[in-house]
Amino acid sequence: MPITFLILLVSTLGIVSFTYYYSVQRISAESQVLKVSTAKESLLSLDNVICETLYQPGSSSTFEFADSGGRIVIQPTSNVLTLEVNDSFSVHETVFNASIGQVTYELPYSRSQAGLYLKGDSQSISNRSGASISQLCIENGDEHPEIQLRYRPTVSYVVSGLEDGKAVNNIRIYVVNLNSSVTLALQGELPLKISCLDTKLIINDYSVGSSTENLVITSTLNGSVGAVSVPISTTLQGAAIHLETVVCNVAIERWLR
Amino acid sequence: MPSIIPGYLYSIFASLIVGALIVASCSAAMTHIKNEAATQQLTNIEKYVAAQSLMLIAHTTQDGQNSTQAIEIPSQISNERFWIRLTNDTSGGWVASGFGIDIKQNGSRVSIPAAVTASGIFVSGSGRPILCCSLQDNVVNLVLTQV
Repeated sequence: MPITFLILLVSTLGIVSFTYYYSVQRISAESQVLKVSTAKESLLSLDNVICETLYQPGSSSTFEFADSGGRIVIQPTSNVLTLEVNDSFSVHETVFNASIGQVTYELPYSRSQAGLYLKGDSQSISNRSGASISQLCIENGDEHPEIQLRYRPTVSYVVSGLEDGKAVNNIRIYVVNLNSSVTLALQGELPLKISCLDTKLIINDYSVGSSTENLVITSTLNGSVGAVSVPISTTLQGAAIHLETVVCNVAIERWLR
Repeated sequence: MPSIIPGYLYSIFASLIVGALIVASCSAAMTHIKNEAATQQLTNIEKYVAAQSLMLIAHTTQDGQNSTQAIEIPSQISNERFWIRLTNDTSGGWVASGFGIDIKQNGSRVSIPAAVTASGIFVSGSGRPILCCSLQDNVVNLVLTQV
């Protein structure tokens, strides 16, 4: 009788232990997937809130960043953006060179989908209508995978009449600068305040000859190089290029209620 | 005593097998429910793209102007990337889709009930899908691109 009881006890304990361990592992795995999903949703929502305030100086929004087990890092001095213009003849100039900041969410898990873009793509500059200004992607960080939110420059252009016999080409480069944000690295729930401080205009005027066909704008964003080619309309006298770099300064800071 | 121990051992093994069967069937049922939900969401996206396509075709044929529409869809469904393709044959166009990043011929499809030349592929997880509709020689061209 005692031996039978012992066999039953040991077997039952073994089965219960195995079932408990297996259940905890499964629940933990599902919980990680769920938390990664909430982190993605939080950053998508944060991006929406930032986009709502862009180019409206004085406007601000608040956002409650949910706790997904990771750490939110706001790095205003990272993500260096360099913009150069070049027409292969007379124009070759750097029109912008500064760090524009980024927001990173460090996931505490090893599972990742590195290279996945939740919004935007890997191009460091875009001139296509409908393209997203945001780049929200999953990258492998130093220790853990992380979700990075940054903004890339976008270009628009229009040809508007003549000026001294030269065709006028108005080109605008839109830059979102998070450099005025507060450096933060915090875990848990985090109330944030996003403010559009101001919009600055950097104007560069160029006069080019009639042989110029394109102006190439090269963007180096966090080491990634990309370029767009803007067609230049010319007359026999040449063309006047009005290049405006519109920098929207946005500050992200902890919201103290 | 010797006859009791094998009896209990048999019972334990039987219990283990039954337990494993229950766990496996529950897991299979859960996976099936998840897959059904993901497939349903992908079908909804197909229908959404088909509806947006029809709207663009209507605008283009009425106004005679080219039109473009960005499509707002998630980058993943149930943590999986997916693809959408526009194709046509002589009977009309359709939206096909499937999970993964490899474009397959046997994905599910929703037809676009209009005479249209449709082409283009979008693979989720990078960029944004854009529908461009143009009218050339009385033929409506619908192109799905990625920006």
